[in-house]
Amino acid sequence: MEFMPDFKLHRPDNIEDAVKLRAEEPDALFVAGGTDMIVNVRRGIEQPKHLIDITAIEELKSILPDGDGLHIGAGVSLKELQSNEDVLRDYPAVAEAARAVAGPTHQEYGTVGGNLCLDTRCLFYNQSEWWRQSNDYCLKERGEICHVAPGGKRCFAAFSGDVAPSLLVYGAEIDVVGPNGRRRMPLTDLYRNDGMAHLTLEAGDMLTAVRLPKALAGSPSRYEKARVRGSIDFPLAGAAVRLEMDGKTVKDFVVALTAVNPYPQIVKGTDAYVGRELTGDALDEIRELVRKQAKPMRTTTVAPWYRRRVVGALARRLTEELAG
Amino acid sequence: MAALEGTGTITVKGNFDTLPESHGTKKFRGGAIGGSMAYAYAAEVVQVAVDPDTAEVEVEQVWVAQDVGRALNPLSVEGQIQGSVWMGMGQAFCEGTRFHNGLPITGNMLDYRVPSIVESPPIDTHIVESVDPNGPYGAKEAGETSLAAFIPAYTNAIADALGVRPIDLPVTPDRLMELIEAKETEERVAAAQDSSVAAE
Repeated sequence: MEFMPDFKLHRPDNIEDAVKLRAEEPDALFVAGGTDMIVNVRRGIEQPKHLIDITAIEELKSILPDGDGLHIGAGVSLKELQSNEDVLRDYPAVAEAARAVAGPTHQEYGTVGGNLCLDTRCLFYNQSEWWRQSNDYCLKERGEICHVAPGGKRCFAAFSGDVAPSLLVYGAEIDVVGPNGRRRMPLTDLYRNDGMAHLTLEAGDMLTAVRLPKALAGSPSRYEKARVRGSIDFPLAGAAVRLEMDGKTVKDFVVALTAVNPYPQIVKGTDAYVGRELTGDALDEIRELVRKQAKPMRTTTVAPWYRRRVVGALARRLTEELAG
Repeated sequence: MAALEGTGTITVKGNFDTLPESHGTKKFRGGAIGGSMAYAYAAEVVQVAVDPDTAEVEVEQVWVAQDVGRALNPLSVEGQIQGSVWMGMGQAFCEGTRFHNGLPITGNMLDYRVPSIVESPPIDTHIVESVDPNGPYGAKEAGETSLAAFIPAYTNAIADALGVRPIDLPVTPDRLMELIEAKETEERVAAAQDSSVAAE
């Protein structure tokens, strides 16, 4: 671990001031829980000259039902997210995902916004400064080559947040405040399939809230992740499933994945199962559908083929459980 | 034992060196520890639950008995045995060192996975007392004997559950899934051969 760089700490108490500070200082980072970002700072990956602590902004901390759904502030802790009654009752996978993040102490500090904006991860990137230097850095940070796929010009660092897929299956939207004002967009639009620049936020943008639609409140869902240890570990693969049945046939079915690509993604092609019965063969097909769209690379110590195998198995199992 | 309940563990400072005769023909060099005067023995039983979808293994219960000679401080001996089991768990299922171009790639607490308290099973500890004539007050040792025993007990439990025997350590989920799939392929091939023989 390196020492913290010299930085100036700001603690604005409203969103407008925070965004203004961020726009004025290109070398600034927002910090809330800091459970992941501060580690990267101490490894020399990030060297901010300004840290903007957003924990004093009360507006970011509430979970409020409003007309068209549930508003979850970006500063809500993962602990609160998993114990909120509305979330537990209406969007169960979201609470389950918050419970699956790292360990209880991380959940106490880590926030919804932080987990959604988590940097992508890779064995060759999440190392100390001297380690990365000795390895000629990498495509994602200061270097010329990708150690995962030498010769390639793409970064395969995996998005490893637990919460995003559980929100994606509910078609969540996000509020973003930037220098040009406030805008709302689907959560899917926050991400792109690029390990180097997986977030579409522009300089000065701040994710302020997530909105879960009322129309899907109570729609049954689950989230499960594969990991070596029952605590601490990031997901090696994670799947969220939302499934509504109409008697024996599928009425509505969405699957979303994490940790198997540079971005959290909704699995394409699940619509084809609407109106069908979930027989053993159909479940096996779903497992293969998921495996085909998961493209994990050698970004963890655990083999990529295992992560692809297991993400399909998890999605199949959750689908079977939800089908009852 | 009454004293232990009232005030906690009794701690005493002392020193014991093994007799030179026990060192064999060569002079002991380089180690901060002396040779044990007597061999200790441990027996261990591990119960596991394996998830066939993810090849994740959960240790549900461990029973361990160790011959420690005379247990000078039973509470401390029990803790020592539990610690040994725990250290063995790390070796058995998650702690592993890997290198990339000579650089340790697992040189951090996230990638070098030490078991967390979630993995810690109930450990049923039995102290088997004997009197060792050469040990201090009849003691043998309460070091890593129960560590070494954990590993074969664990892989035995997996072999009993799945019919595959892990050899390489640590038994990570990807290694175990590879074994499970190899066995399934073997069974499919054997079944196909059987049915083609039957058809003839």
